[in-house]
Amino acid sequence: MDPMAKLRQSFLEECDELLSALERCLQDMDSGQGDGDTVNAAFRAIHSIKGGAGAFGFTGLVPYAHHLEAGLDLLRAGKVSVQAAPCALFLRTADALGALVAAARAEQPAPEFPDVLDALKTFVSGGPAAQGPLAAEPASLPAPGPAPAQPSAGPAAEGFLIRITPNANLFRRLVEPPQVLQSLEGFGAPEMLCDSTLVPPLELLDPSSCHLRFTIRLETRAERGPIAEVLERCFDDEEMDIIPLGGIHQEAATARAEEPAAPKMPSSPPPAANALAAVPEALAAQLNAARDLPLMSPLPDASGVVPTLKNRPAMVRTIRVDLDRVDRLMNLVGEIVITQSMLIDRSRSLPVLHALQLTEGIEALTRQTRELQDQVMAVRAQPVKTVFQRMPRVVRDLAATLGKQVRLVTHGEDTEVDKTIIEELADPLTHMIRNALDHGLEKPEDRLAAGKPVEGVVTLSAEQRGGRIVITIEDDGRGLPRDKLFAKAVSRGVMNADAKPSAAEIDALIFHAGLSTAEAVTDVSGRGVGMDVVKQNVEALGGRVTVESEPGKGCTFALSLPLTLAVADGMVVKVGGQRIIVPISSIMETLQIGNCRPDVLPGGGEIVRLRGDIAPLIRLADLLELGESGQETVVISAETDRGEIIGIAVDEILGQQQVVVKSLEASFGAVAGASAATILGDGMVALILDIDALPGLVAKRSAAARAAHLFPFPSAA
Amino acid sequence: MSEPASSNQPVLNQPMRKIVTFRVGSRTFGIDVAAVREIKGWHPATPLPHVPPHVRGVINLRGMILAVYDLRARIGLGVTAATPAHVILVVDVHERLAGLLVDAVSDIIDIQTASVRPPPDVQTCDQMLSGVVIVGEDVVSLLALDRAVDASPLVNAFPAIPSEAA
Repeated sequence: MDPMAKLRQSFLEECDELLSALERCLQDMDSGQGDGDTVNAAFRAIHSIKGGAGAFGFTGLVPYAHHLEAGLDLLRAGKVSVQAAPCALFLRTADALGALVAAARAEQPAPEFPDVLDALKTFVSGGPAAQGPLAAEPASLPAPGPAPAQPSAGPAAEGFLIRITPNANLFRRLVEPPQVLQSLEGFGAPEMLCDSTLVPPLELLDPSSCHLRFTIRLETRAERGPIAEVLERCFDDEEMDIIPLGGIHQEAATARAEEPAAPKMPSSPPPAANALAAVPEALAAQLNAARDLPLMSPLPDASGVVPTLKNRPAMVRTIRVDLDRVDRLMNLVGEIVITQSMLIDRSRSLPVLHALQLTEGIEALTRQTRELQDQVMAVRAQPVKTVFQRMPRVVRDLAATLGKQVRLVTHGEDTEVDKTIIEELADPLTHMIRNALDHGLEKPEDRLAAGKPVEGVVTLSAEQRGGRIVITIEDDGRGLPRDKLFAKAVSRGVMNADAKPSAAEIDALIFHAGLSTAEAVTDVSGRGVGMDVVKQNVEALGGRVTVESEPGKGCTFALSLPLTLAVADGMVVKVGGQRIIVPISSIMETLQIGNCRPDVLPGGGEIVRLRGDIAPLIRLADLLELGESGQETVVISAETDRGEIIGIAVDEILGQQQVVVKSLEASFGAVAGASAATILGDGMVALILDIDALPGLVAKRSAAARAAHLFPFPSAA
Repeated sequence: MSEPASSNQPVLNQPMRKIVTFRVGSRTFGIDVAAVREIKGWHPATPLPHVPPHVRGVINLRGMILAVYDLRARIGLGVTAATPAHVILVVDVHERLAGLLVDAVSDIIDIQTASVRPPPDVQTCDQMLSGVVIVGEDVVSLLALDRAVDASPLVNAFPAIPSEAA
């Protein structure tokens, strides 16, 4: 594709974006949310379209763009109020522009929307007198020749029909026919047709002989002379036939009359040619590879009037790619990240001068790797919509089965998350929605008795928080039955009868295997293989599921998952002689330990002051049994996914780097305190700290300590 | 390794097993050769929190995370003071790779399937043995790999041998 064609192509793509921006603005204006900024944004979009359309010769677009621009300018100048804007008309103009862009892309004639244009003109000229001259402007716009992409097929077309019937020895002449044919684009937009009817069957084919014929329709104001001159670089006089388009109709008739004569060419038995059609086409494809000439299979009157290019396959805007390939790509990016950290590691041992030079290179590499990784991620990212949209059906079917009235509300369907996670979400979500309907929501009569609307509401929402996606499933039902959960836990020996667990601890029992509370096992849910499996699945993805329940009001399950399973930003810290990665997404700030005045509470719990607030202090070496505590110099203040702020004491901060997340579950199993592992530049494995699990670990440990009648450990409470 | 005893000479039509034998202290263990993916020298492992002592931690096996289990600790003889001379057997247990830290690999031998005896006391050492076979002078304990590379705390250790200081 020549550079100009590329530019035109990218302009059309840009048009799509500009048009959708324009449409958003217009819709905002239509719904009354528009203000001066909206008008300005719309104006900028249409202005860019108009400018580009003129520059790239898409003249069909210009009048619409121009008048819409003039109309928006009236709004911009305050001559018409935004509220009074004819948004419907503007939107129709945007649609018309969309159709024109689509036609230009398909290289079809530009459609016309005279009513839209007239209405626009009326609106613009009906404005203040000062706007009058604008309406007349399109006529004075420079018309850059005939619109190449939208050939008007009218009889008045100027130009030539060029027939080229090369000699068989064409390929031996050391000329480049594709280039010559391409150079015709200097005169206008040639439409080319390659006739491969005469290509003999494979066994008779001499690959160095040319059996192709070309028909070119060139609309241009140029004279015959220069065109012939260009073609003569490649073809002899007797090989080409340049006929003015004015005479095309007679030509067509002649061509049809001549057609039966064509097959008399030697070595061209049509049935065999058809049987081997793919071969000559492949050969022809080679010839045309440089420019995508349309390859037409021989049609009865194909050699006559040049058909428009509407038979050309539609422009391919997306491709389907095997997920494995994307996975391989992602793995490769992961390897690059590891190699990069290895390079950084090694550069430290170089003399300063060399290291400096290398560092520059490494920094560039780091930026590029990150970009590469973002792009690969973007390829893998999908909106959660793909899972969410299955849920209304689950709800509808189940509500009917259960005799309950349920409304499903979804939010944040466009939140994007890695495809692997999307795939793994479907089952847990379905399960939890079923649970909400079956166990959470009461029967209609019970709801009425409780003073609630008959219709239960289940809200499914997704939102991005830092490096994670949080999906919540909320119902306005009865909440978790704490007494039953506790009783069951006692009867199963999970808890002591005299234990005094907190409400949250009881609620968390829902994730314990075998503690389903439904009074009757239904065919819907309630066999006790429920939330524990959900929990396992979610944890296997490096996620976490939590529950909050309020008796009589409802219950909320929250799934917190990493946005991607592949790469994360981490702070490398040293703890008891070991390196640990703290996910940057959870870190709020880091402080010298002396500056946040650690204090020991009566009972042993340690706290620190973080920006005027107090937070529990967790000494990581101690909690993860990684060695002696007491070496800590730094406190990392971090936020868990439940919004708790904790202070994490570590020995020192070593640096910051991207890490490739490697699952521990796959090779070992869940590790308390570590969400995953990674490989550092020196080849050693480092654990990635699971910040969200730390408060739970601390609580568990102090509970164990209390139970063992030992001295209490620092408590998070 | 000693010469295979005559009873273990390959005999036609007798089902045979190929066994990798390795040592921990004075004991010889064996596993099916098919379960061994590779043998590599000891590499310091990154310890994991809150795991029993026989889980030595994780290492990087060509970009993969591999958990390493200390067989000596697993059978209750104390944690191996690992040196580069020690060996990690990378084994395939139910499609999952794991590392087994042992003192040294001895040999690959053929044994008759029929010559494998059940372990004398199935309760011993968490049912970590799938059988015992006598090869020359040695008693080769065949490991039940899924039990040997398990992170759960051990219940029954091997009876300590007084001469064998861990």
